[in-house]
Formats: sequence, C-alpha cells, structure tokens
Amino acid sequence: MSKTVLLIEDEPNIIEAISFILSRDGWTVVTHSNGHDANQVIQAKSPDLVILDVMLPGKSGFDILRDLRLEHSSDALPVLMLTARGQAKDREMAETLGVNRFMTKPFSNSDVREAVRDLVQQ
Amino acid sequence: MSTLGSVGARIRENRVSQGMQQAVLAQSVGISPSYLNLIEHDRRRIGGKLLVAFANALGVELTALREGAEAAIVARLTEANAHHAGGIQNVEKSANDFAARFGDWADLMVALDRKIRVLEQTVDTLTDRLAHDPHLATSLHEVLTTVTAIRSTSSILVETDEIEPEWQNRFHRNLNEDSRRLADGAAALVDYLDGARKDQRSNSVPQEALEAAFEARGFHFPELETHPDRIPSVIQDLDLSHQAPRHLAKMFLEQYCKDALDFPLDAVKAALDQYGLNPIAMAQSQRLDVSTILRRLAFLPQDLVGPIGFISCDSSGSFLMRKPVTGFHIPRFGSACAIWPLFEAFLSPHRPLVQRLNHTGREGGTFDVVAIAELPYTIPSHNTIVAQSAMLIVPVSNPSFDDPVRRVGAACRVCSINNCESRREPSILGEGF
Repeated sequence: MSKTVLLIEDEPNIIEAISFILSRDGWTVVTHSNGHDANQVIQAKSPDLVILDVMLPGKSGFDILRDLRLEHSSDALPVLMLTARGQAKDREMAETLGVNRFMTKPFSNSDVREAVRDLVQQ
Repeated sequence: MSTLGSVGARIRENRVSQGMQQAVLAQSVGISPSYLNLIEHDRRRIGGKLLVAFANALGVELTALREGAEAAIVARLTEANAHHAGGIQNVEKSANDFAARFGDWADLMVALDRKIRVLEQTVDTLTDRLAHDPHLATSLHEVLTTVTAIRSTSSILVETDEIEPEWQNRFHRNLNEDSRRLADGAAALVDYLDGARKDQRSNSVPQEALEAAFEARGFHFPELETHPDRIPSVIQDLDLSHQAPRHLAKMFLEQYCKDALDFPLDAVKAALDQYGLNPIAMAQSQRLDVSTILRRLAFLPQDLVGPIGFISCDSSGSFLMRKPVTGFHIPRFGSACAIWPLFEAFLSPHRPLVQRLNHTGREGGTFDVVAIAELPYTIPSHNTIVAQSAMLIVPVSNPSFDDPVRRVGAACRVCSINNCESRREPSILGEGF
C-alpha cells in the first residue's frame, strides 16, 4: 500500500504539478487548499507526510504547524514547508516550530521528490 | 566647494583672475550667463568648439583648460579603483598614464563605473523598499509562486517520457495561464517601482503628498515671486485632496513668499553671477540668514541653477521637506544616516557646516552640502526651544580627490559602509554592495 502525502497549498497549478510528479513516484497524494480547517484535515487523513505552504487563506502555515506540534500524536509526522518567504527569520521560525525541511520557491521538481523520499524514509 | 581640477573650475579661475564678469565671458562665447554658471559649477560638461571658444576668449592655451579635464578623469579612475576595492598599486600614477595614453578608454571606464554605481543604487533602492514595504513583499511572493508553477510544469513536460495527452493538454494550459499571470504580475511590479501609482500609495502620508505635488511643479512657483496673495490659488492648483497636505502647503508657501520678498529673483540671479552657488557668501552679502539662502536656492528653476536637492528636519530628526536629487538617496521610511551634516548642524546652531559628501549606493554621487540649524522660536508654555535644520545638496560632477570627503549613506539598513562608527543596526547588504 502506497504512503500518503497531504499537500496543503492554495496555488492550483502548483498543486497539479506536485501531485503529478509524486503520483508518478508511487505516492498517494491528497490535496487541500486553505488554512481554515487544515489541522482537522491532517487529523482526518493521517498522512505519512505533510507538504505545507506558508501563505494560505484563513490560517498561515506557521500557525498550522504550531497547532500541529501541540498535538503530541503528530510528533513523528514529517512536515515539508514550501514558501516564497526565504528570509532567515522565516526559516528560523519554521525550525523553532518543528519543521523537518524548509524549501524556498522557486524549487525544482527533483528537490521536492528527493525531500519527500528522505523525510518518509527517516 | 572647490572643484579645482575640473574644466569648469579652470574656466572660472581664469575668468575671475582676469576680473571678467560672467556675462561678458558668456557673451563672447555665445552662451547665456546662466549656462556659463552651470558650466563653471560642473553641472554641464563641455568640449570641442565651445572649449576652444573659452580658451580664445580667456586668452589661454587650450591645454590649460584640458589639463583640468584630464585631472578629473584621473580622479574618477582613482575613485573607481577605491570604490571597487581595487588593489592597483601607485593608483594615481597608473591612472595618469592610462588617461594620457588611452584617453577614450579612460572616458569609457569612468562611464562604466558610473553605470555600475547607478545599478548598485537601484539595488539599494529595491532592497530598501523590500525591507520596508509589505505590498512589495506580497507582490514578489506572487511572482515567485507563479515562477515556481511554471518551472515545475515545464520540467514535467520536458522530463517525463510518457505523458497522457489529457495531462499534456492540462499542463500546456497551466503554462499558458501562469505565463500570463507572470507577465501581469511583472508589469504591475514595474508600475509600482516606477511610482506610476504613487498617488494611491506613496502619498498616503501628508508630507509625501505635498512633496509629490511640489515635484510636479518643479519645486518652483513663479507666480508667488511677487504676488504672495496668490497662495490660495496655487494651493488650489496643487490638487491636494486632503486638508493635512493643504495645511502643510500653506505653511511652506508662506515661507516661500517671505524668502522671495527677502531675496528677490533678480537679486538671486545677480548673486549667482557674482558668487556662484556659494550660499554663505550670498548670506553675508545680502545680510540674510543662511537658511533663507538655502531655501531660496533649492526652490529656483532647474535651468537657472541645475539640479539641487534640499532636506529640512526638526530636532526630532523628522523630515519637514525633501527635494530629491539624483544620487542622494533619502529613505522613505525610518531614520536616515546619522552622519549627515543636516543632523550634525544641531550641535552648533546658526553656524553653517560645509562638507563634501560621497553618498554610498550605486549612483556614486558626490555632493557639496551646506547645512545649518536654527532656533526659530520657543514655546513659552513649555519653555521649549524648537530647532530646525536645513541642508542644500549640490551634485559635483567631477570631484577632486584633494578635498576631504565624508562617506555617508541613506540609512544603516541599506548602507554598505562596514566600519562606520555611527552604525545603529547591521546592513542587509552583503559583501560587494
């Protein structure tokens, strides 16, 4: 049974592209495109990895990650954060909140594939 | 404000030593006195026939004037070497040899150095805006997101061996959509950076609205030179939509009219002919405050005195008026460079400070500035003195390296002077800026 990646991103064409490349690699990709209820969706889908955008409608990726890490059951759930905000303070904040990998836009498909592979195998 | 070594300075030096009036020399070479004034103060470059005409009119060898030009080139080459952290040994001798043997190449190198500094200044400006401007940060986020989508989609199309026609069509459509979005986003960003929508954003602060309205008028109001009663109609024409900038405009224009009354335009022109752009000499001869002269010179038509910048502030450091000049970057937000003479002048009120500045950043501006702080009035109920400072900023096109120069920036955040003892916070600029 293939492992599940939950992609939380609000840009439809990035959703399609990432879904396509990860599906081709054998992952089951579930997508969600707003921040409001992202934490509930993570609970409901129980993914093996979350790919999380920072700037989302309703709730930022930082807030989603913070709430996620407050739930101890999700301690082991790897989170790959994608953002155009590549400033050091953003990276530091993500690391403080418990991100496993922080990737700045524009990234390449191979960067994403490699990161997903690394994080789920850990 | 000496610019000895430049062509303009040599012309002036020869004219003054012969006791010749500017008007006489101007007439003999067939130009206006005000244009000659610009040439003498290095705000217009000359060569060819006009330079020959000057040599004939002054009765000097052409080389006597040209040597100045060569000295200026040597100075710019030396400056370029220093600016780019060059390691040329015996730089002055090398520059002299280079300018003498390959004059055209030396000119080109100086021009390229200027161009580099312009580009560096652009980077400074953009970095400054990015650091302080949430709208710009959001716009760039949008552009980066679209670029990511394009990169990812195009990689799929190029790198995937077998791709279903349905997916292929979908990705082509996505690429088309994203490329349009990118074009629109980039155009909007350029509009913003060009200030095309300045009236919607930049001028939300009354001071900025006022400055923008004045800039549209060239910071000069000929109708008020002799008719202070026309202030209301000028304010009406400025098209300021809010009460606050209109109030500021009234205060400023009342001062403008008072200055025009104290130092009428004809007297200004005569003083320019006699003293050039020397505010202190003018103040002494007219028995006026230096600050009056600074304001008067700053708000003259550009064709009379060339581009001139001006800043005034109160003792809190808040800007009261900013008239920009190319190469002297004044921050839109936050605090300015602490070592500007504008602020230093508060330490010795009523004593003018004269300083040559090299403004870091990429336009490579060298400027002669005159700053003065004054204590215009007290607030009796608080027993408080309110001080104001003003600074006139005059570009120097061919600076001499014999003169001491103070290096300044716009603000610490975007300043590249690493060893500045007045630095308040680290710069966001990396090595090489």
